[in-house]
Amino acid sequence: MLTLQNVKKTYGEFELNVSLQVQEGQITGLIGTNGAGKSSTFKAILGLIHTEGAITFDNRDIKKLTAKEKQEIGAQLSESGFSGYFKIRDIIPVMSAMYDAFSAEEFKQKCKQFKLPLYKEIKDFSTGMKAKLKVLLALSHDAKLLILDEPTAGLDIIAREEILDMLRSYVEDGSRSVLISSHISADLEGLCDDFYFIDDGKIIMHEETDVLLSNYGLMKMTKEQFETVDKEYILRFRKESFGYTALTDQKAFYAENYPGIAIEKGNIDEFILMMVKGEK
Amino acid sequence: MRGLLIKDFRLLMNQKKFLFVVLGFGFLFLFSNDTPEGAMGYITILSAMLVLTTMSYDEFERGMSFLMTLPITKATYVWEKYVLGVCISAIMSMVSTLVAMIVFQVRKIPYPMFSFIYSGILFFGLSLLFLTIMIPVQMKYGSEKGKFVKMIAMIIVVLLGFGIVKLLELAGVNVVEMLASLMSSSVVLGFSIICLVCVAFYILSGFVSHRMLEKKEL
Repeated sequence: MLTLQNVKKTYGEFELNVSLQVQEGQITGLIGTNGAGKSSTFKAILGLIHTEGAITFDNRDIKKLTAKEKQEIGAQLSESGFSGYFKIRDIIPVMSAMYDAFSAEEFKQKCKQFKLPLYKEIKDFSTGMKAKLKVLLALSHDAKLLILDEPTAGLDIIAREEILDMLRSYVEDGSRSVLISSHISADLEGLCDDFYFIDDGKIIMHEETDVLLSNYGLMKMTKEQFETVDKEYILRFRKESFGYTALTDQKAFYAENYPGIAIEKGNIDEFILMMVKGEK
Repeated sequence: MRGLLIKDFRLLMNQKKFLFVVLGFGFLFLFSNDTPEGAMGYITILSAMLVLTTMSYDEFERGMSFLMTLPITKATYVWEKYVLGVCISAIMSMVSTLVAMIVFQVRKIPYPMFSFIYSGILFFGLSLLFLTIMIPVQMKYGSEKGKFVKMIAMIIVVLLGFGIVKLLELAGVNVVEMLASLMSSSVVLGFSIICLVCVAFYILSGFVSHRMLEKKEL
């Protein structure tokens, strides 16, 4: 559905250089720390910055999409939306004029469901309300591809769950694709089919969620254990006070061959920490 | 473009107070002067600034980034501002013409009907000329940085205008007499030429603004 090939952009000393794919019917997560290049990647996809490299949507050059074709993409940006001086009742006719598939009545129903007032200026909304509105707008016109840049940033657990539930319902039919970024990986663990990890402008890892959660693990070893262990499947390691922590994508191998080593399931946050901070 | 126009007209509903103030002062000028041109020019050209106000609203809190994710092209965004400029300038020049006619009727000041109409058309053209310069300046520099640049741009244009007139006079061409003779020989032709020139510059300004926005990173 969406392909980025060697997409490059330089900001001073920071260089973005990413290649990734979002398959049809899949939810792909883009995870990284603050300043890793997530938003820059999204801006590149949405044509907001000039980049080298190729970006295709449904086998079409994304830079050459017509206005009608752009209706197939729904976007939500973390720091940008409709003017705060608008009320939702002002936005509805704008969306109706821009998107063939937008239904004013359905949108009003969704706003009612998520307790978003139609007659209040957006600048007076709470953070959670603004975030929900942005996501609702992205979902409101039957887009084939959703680009969501940190949709749950700054929200409490309840608001985050509401938004994630919105997304789960939206992609249930399997025909829509989503590229979603977050620095809260816990939000995406139960949502995404695969993940790309980005650090310092580069993709450092790509893995399917099932494989990540079943095959990856963190080994806690003493210095002696680390010195003797087979390092073929160790992706990264870090020195700790007790010895070493090592990230592996073959925890079953180590569990079978080194029963003395403590292996933890780990979570995506810990995996990112090891990929970013660990040594090779 | 229809969606963008709806957006801007909805945003401008927030500017009702500004319009009432402009019209209010316009009324004052009409009641305190014996010619309507000052008031008509004031109402028309100041109202044209509303186009720049919509651009400021668009920039507010990085709104431009989001707008460009909607199903519009940068070209559509730019040309919508120029269409908006024509709409606002046309509406307000007609309003100012009508208001001036009514006030002068009430004040029982004799003033030829066609003079109101020609003044209305002239200020419509001047309003477009104003936007010809201001829209690309705001497109390039934004509303904050653009304030100073817009002021300088207006000063340069006025000086340039005077400069050109002076140069022509040195070359033996009296611009005022030339325009007067053009108008007297055929007022319709004269106004048509002036309008065409304004429209031509306005369209050229649109291409310049489009190019500026294409280069901009959001």
